[in-house]
Amino acid sequence: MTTDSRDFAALKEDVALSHRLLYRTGLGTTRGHTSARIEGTDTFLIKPWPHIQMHRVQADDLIIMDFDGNIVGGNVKTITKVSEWPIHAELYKAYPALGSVLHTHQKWASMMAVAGQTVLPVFGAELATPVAEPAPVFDEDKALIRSVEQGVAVATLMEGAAACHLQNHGMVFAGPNVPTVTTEAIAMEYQAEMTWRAQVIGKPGVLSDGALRGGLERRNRGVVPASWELYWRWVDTQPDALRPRSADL
Amino acid sequence: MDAAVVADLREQVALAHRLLAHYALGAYQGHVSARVPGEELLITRGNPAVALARIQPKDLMILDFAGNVVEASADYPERIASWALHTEIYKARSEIMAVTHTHQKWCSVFGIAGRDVLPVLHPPTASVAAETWPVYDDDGGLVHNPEQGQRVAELLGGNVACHLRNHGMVFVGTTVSKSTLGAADAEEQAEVTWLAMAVGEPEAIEMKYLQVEVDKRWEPPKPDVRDGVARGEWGNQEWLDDNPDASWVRGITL
Repeated sequence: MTTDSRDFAALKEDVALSHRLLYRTGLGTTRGHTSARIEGTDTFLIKPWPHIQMHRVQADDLIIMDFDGNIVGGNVKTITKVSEWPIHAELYKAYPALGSVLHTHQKWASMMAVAGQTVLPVFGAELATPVAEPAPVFDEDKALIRSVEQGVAVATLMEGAAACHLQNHGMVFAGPNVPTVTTEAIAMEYQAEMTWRAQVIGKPGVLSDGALRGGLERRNRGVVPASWELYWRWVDTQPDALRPRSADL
Repeated sequence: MDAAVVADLREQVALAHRLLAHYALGAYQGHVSARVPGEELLITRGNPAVALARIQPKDLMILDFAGNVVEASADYPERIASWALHTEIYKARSEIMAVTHTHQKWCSVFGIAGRDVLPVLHPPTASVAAETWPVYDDDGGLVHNPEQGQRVAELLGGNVACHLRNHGMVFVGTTVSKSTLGAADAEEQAEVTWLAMAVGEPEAIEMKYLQVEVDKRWEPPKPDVRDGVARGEWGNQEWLDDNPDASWVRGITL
């Protein structure tokens, strides 16, 4: 993919939108980052440092990095790279099929690992793909993932996994494209909250393998979730769309 | 008293009050103060209580360490009832340059329950809870005279936070941003600890991952610079201040 192509412009828009949606869904305010592999190259698009408030990340804010941690393009005037870039670079290096990687400190999912509990596929077969299998927990090192060695260790643990806990730190999501990892991060948070709520009052019932199969199969083929165009792009234009509401009968 | 330094501190203390509102650490109660460097003076908000979200530099006052009003605010001329919480902490520990007092919900509930907030999420953020916070348990957690302020300062020791049981919290630091953002960081640790306790045994971050931040607590503050790029002391907080709607509680319903 060349950086003057239409596909590249669309990719930048998707990466920027991913950050805005993480903000809108309460998964992060300033920290956290989404990246996308630039197809056919050993480079990726990623949010820079100092952190831009998630709410206002735009396509032209992004930088391009190579797998060795060099900034090779994008908005390089006043910014540098996030310190945890090795999470992204090592996943792309290890798994050629990955198109996007996302890191958050999202509360519910992170908390469940802190509690030593597994986030279960409890709600909506299409939404439960990131926890169809229990997400692995990276707990051998709790320091931020700032070295290549740590990045390799996370990547190794994540083989084939859609989601991974960084114990006492946050989450990593990896998948075929930006819409998939973004909606899976959002869906993971919902599964975590619903698992927690069910666990406090009983034993959560989980979706069967059969129920999960179709969604997983589409996900692994790299099918972009229909909600990306139909729903999430609309959310981006509606400041009030996700404001919590309550039924007042 | 250096007029430029005082003017800058007024801006920062006012911003800190507004951020308490953004982070839901207080609505109209709570107060932040800054020591005036080299003086036995501090800057904090006046009384009566005003919405924290709209506090401006002109709403602040300067007190001396005996609690006398040195510079009043026209609209809020009375000193806060808990002034001695601030003066006694500054007197006890010269390295403390800012004090933040809140009634924040999640941290306070741990004081009430007699349980410890654990460092559970993101080591740099969690380091505020690296050590168990002491609990001031006199007089319903109120601090209305210098003796009570001294007791809090004694309990606080070298820590960065102290429970005022059945009342709220106090956080301290070498800058206004540190004591105030420390309160926000602490609230996140408290909520996650509480949620984890409901379904399991929370795993805390080991001290070896927190030590680097703990060691920096009382060092003179340094700008955060990477690859020659500096982040402002308040980071994105000033943007948040300009966008009051950005802090409404977000949630997901799929």
